[in-house]
Amino acid sequence: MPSALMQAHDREPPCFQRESSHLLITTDPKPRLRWTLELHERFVDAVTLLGGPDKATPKAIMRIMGVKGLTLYHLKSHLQKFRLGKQPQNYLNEQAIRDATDHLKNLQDAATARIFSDGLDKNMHRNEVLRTQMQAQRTLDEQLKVKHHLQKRIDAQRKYIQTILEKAYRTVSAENRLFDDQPVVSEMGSMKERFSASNFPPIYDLQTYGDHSHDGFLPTDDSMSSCTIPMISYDDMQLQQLGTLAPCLASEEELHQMTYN
Amino acid sequence: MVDWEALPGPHDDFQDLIDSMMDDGALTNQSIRLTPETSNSMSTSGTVFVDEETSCIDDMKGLRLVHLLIAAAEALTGLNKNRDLARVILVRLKELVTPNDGTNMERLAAYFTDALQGLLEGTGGIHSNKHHSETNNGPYHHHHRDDPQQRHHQSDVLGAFQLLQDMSPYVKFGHFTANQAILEAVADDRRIHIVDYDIMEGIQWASLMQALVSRKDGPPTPHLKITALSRGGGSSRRFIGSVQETGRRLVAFAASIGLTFSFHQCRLDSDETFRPSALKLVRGEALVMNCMLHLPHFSYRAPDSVASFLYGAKTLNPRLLTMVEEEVGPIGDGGFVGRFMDSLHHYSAFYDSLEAGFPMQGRARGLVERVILGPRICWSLAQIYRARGEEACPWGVWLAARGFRPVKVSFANHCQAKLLLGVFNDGYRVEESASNRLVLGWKSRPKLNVNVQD
Repeated sequence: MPSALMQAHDREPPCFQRESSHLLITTDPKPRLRWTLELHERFVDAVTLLGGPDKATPKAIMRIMGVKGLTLYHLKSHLQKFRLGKQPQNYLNEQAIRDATDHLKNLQDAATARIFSDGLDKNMHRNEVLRTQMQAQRTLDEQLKVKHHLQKRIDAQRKYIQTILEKAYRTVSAENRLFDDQPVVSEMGSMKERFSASNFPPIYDLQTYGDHSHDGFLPTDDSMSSCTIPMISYDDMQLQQLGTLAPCLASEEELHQMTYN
Repeated sequence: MVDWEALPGPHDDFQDLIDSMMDDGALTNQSIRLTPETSNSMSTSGTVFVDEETSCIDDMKGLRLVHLLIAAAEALTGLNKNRDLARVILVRLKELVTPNDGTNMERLAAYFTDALQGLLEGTGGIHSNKHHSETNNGPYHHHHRDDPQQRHHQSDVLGAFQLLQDMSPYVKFGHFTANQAILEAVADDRRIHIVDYDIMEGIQWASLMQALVSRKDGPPTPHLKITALSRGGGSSRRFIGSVQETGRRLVAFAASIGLTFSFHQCRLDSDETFRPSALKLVRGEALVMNCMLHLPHFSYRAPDSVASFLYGAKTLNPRLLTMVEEEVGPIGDGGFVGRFMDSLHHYSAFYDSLEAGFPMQGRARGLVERVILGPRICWSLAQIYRARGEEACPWGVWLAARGFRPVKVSFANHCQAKLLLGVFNDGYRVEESASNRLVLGWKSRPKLNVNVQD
């Protein structure tokens, strides 16, 4: 059955063919059906059920056979031949040969048609495609390079800013000791006091910004758009020193839930 | 509350005006285009449907605030100047908003109200609700009206700056794009000399240094020299310490990554004019002039001073000139109100962009607003006020007009910018507004641009 079906699918009027998910358009006005023995036997069964070739109508036969892709057109001609008393074997062979020849011719026509339509464009088209591909590859390589460098640069800048911050906070704590009667009002400092009593973990890592890709800084896929370069990556050592900044941020309980893009 | 009797002049006239502005029902009568669901509420004057109206209420309130702010700006400087009216409007505004609470628009309006108040009272300074300079020594430098951040403790400013850095691409965008252009321009050079107009903490150079030590092509160990322009003594001390401190820091950093580096200072005149002759140049070095005007916490630099730097740069015929400035949108006739509205739009985009990226970090954003953006708003308005009536011209345009040639922003550079923005939020956009200029924008609002010239 399947093989007959496939062939049936090859020759389907009016102009559309379906092959799995593809939609093919054929220009063959008279699509031939390959009547295999199996298909023919089903045909005969159906005709017999309906009371013989004279009583059976193509429509009824179609319904009984229930073969997908089998159309009235196919059945009409087959029934006619059947009525004229052609033997299945002979008929099949003849038909088969005719079908095969037709099929071959179709293929040839199609091939020729394709050649003529693409024609010279075919080569040019292929070069164009190649060129575009090479360009795309180069672009991709360059983007990867840029991504790699960008990460390093962001890190360098952060490292630098942290040295400034560290010094600034050391100064703050020194001043606090110095000006005891005039407490230095540092907002960051006061934030620390307010939140140090809380239960928030001092470890402040990427997750507080909702970045879950902890390993490395670059996404494992090559998509340029989802570059999850993390933003703050304090390690524990620096945390102790910095003190004020981290808890200030970590204090927001919402941090744990939030995802930054 | 306002004492109507005490106000001079024919207060009947503007009492109605103020009443209408302050009346809650005022706005409902205006035709405001809202979504179909809310349009019903508009036709019923005064009442607002409960279900799903919150954003509508916010919009309405925001709109009212904008109207009030513009009215105040107009009263302050418009054709029919009326300081009393302005004062009354500001009082009303202060009743409606606080800088620590509410929506973006409300907090923003609070800062703008403060700024306008400052203009009204002629101090031009900052009226921050929280911190007043208790002492004149220690970390609080002498309060200088042109240095908005000096009111705050330096660690706060730095912490807030770091936060801003991490929450938005503004600072990095300018730095990285300029640096990439520089790297490309000096790829084959052994000696590089960068003259930085306003080095501040030197943050821009950390990533450039790193890039220099890791470059694969070109001479393996380039020597970098940075000359920082310093302002004479007597003017405002940098909140983070002097240019010398920055120099020391950069030297240490360069040493830590193994880059040969030397740091120099070049004094500006007392009026902050740049004299190219004061520079120590060496034959064979690649000269780069760098001018960053976009840092949120930078001090006021007189346009003449900037111009002197750029003019001087032209005479030195550098390998490259990089300049980053804030984008100014359409400002109508260029009058105060037009620029005021543009400024409102600009900072509103700022607030929105921060919130979009970090909706849960209200406190962190609040700190950034208080310590950096708020003072900057005051500063911006003071500038606009000072310059009202004058022509505003973006430096990029100025450069082109004076014979600087555009240098194309490379694909790699553009790519880096896109990647950088991709880390943050997809509301940010970068576009090439010219072959040599990258513009960073938030949604439809351009925020700052990077120009590359030679």
